[in-house]
Amino acid sequence: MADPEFDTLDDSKLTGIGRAISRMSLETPPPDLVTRTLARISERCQPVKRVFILLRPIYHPLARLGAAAAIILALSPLTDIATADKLGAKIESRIIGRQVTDRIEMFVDGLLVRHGPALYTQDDLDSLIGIPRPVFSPVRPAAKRGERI
Amino acid sequence: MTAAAASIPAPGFITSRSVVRPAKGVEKPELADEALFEKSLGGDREALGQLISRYEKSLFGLLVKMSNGDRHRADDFFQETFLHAMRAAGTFNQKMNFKPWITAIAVNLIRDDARKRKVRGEVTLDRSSSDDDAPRVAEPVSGGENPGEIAERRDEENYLRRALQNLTQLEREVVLLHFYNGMTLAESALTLGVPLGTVKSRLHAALTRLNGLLEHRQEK
Repeated sequence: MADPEFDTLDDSKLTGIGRAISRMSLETPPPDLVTRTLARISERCQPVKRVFILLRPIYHPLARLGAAAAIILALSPLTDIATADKLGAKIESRIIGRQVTDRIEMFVDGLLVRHGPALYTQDDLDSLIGIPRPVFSPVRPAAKRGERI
Repeated sequence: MTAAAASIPAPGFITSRSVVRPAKGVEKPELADEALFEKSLGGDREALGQLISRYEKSLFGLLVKMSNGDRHRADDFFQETFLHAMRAAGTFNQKMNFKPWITAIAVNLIRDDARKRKVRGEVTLDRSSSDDDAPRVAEPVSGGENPGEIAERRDEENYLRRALQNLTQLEREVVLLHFYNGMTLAESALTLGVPLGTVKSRLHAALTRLNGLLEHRQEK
């Protein structure tokens, strides 16, 4: 057998044994082996449907931790309100448009209804983000004593 | 060199992962094993049949040798190997070489079976003796070979077969993969999941032991 890897065996006796093994007679498989194998596979297996890699479930615990870390790292910049604001503005202007944004905001506002006592007022929020408090003026004169509104 | 070994490409042969170039005079290019397997996974029964036929002789022969000549067990292992391959298709990708992968499945099945038998305390019978009724491929007879020489060669082969059974399972695996199945050392290492150096040392140890056994026979 002209295999260059045989040269790694420096002993000619060992090489001779290797050659003798390679000359051993072949086994003839049963005539219907392929048919029976195919039948057995058809019986037990269905064609495998390839699933996109990002949609495959993760089974390995370390891989799960890695995936969680990747998600956290990807979303962590959004904890900065300036970054999130810029990103939101870009999404609004380039992808979904003003009208859709308004609808989403209305929907989210509806979800964020707070039941129970308010911990802070709109004035508190306005002063927090630097909106000057509007000056209110009466639209009609105040009621006098004994007068019914 | 056996017929199976002759059909096995030389080391470093693989040039394209998907299509093997047709030989001169051959019209239709033959698909590589990896491409056939991919098609099989998509439900192409013909491709699967072609793939199984391609490995029929070499893998079945290897399984018979590894299961001490028990053709019935080898038959079962052969079917199980392809069944496992279809089930474990997720672990295979186009970058892998199909031959070491499928052979590794077969070797692992043999190992699992040996482990179970050991736990159950079963004894494996030597089924590969000269009275074995197993049909074999007609051995090539050269022009100058007379019946006496053929008989002598058969006798030598039987002794070699019995000597192989005296090796440890790990040694027998590496010897059969490399010499009988015609795999390169690198492919054998890939199949067994061990470094190349380990394959070389196991091979050397196995051949040294076989040499001792054969010398012992000659002294007798």
